[in-house]
Amino acid sequence: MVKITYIEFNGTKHVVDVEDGLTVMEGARDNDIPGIEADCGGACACSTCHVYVDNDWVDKLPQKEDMESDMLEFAFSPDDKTSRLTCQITVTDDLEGLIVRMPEKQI
Amino acid sequence: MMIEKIVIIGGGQASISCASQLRSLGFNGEICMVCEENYYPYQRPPLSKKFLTGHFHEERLLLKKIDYYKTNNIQVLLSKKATKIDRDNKKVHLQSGEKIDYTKLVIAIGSKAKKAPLSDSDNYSNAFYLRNLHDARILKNQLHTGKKILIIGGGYLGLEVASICSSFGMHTTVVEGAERILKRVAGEPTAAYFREIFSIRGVKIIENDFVKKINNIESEVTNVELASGRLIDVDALLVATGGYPEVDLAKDAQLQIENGIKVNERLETSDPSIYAAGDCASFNHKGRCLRLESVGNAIDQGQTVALNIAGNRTNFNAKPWFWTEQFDQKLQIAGICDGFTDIIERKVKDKVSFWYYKEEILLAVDSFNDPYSYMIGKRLIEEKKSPKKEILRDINFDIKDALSLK
Repeated sequence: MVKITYIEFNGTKHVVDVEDGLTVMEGARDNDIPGIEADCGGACACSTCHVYVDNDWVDKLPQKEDMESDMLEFAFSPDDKTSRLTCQITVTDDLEGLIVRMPEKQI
Repeated sequence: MMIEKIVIIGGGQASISCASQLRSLGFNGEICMVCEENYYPYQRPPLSKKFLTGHFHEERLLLKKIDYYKTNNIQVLLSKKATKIDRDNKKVHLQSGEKIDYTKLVIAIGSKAKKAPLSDSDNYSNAFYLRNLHDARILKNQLHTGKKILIIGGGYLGLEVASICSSFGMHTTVVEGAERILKRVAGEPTAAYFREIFSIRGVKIIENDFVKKINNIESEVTNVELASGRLIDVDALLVATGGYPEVDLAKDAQLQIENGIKVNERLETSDPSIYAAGDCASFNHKGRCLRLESVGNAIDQGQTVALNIAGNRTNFNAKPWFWTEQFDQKLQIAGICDGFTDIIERKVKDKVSFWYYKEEILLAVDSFNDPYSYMIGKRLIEEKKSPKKEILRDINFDIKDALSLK
């Protein structure tokens, strides 16, 4: 289990344990954390699981693939450096303590 | 005051979207979901993708963890089939004999697999469908290197399964009765693009031909004869000839049916205390009764119903989008190409997109491994913007700039 902190746009903080091998999106879904919609269920097809990764974590995460970058460009209010699609981040032990913040809305 | 009780018939995406949206809106009446299957609501798209390939185990399919329903006071009845809607007394009858009262009813029972060319009485041990988790579990056990599978139906579902079977090293054949694959949902260029990819991978696609006779030894299909005279030996047969909306319950309750359960802009059926959402609901779109069989539509309609039940009068605004995964290709589709007169092809490096126009109006975009074009196309269509076709033909034009055109 890996501890991840999800912070809603209104500041509400959720600290939860997520199983290795799931995605950061699934961690939010399974803990019923609002703000990540994930309409396509994790196929990198809808861009509704967008978050801003805490600055300290940007370089520690696996790089974005082209598919994710292209989808993100049209998400709501993306940030070049910190925006990620949570369905594309697989949870591993290296992510212990990860902090992500939700955008104001998904689309 | 009478306590509101919302009964939702169906346990799919539209159903859970409606129930969870109601709770998010602070609705504090009762909610009861009647599910025919023995599973809590789960995702269907992976059934013909990552679940079938074994990359996704069953628990990951759940749309909500099971304790969600308790925490949110949503009653879920599993393995319960609704058999009758008694509109006069506002009750839903179940096969088990129970009767459930409702103040508002939501019908979200989806669609069923067409059986043709098989008949209801056919019960072959090696003929399969793919509509739900139960079907997917069974089909998954059939994927073995060297086995021969015939897939009847060249729509997205049939092709997705064909690409997976082929990746498992199966001898895979697809037969499509129409003049070409994807006839109902995409233009010829998209079909041609797939045809080539499938051909390179050794999948045999037979178009404009149909099943004439199924030969069997006892309960097992041994080969299939096509109208053209071709004889295809099979170890397994998948029927993927499309779906039809589940309307029987609504029809028996004398609700208006037209290509599905007819709903108005607020997704009310002809009885204002009954709504319909998802695959089974038929709504007015550009003057015709349209149904959309997609997860995006199920989510949007489920949520719109919830808003209306909660008293926020909301009109449904269709924003059709779809995706399919075939081998290493992800096709993303925005809009509906029906009635197109022109198709513009854009090829930039290894990214390909097809832009469907009706005269000067942009209807839809099909994009292959090209989310950039997809996202722009989706936004253009939603904003009712149609760039001039000449502009799109110029591959040096960055289509993003089309968003800022008038």
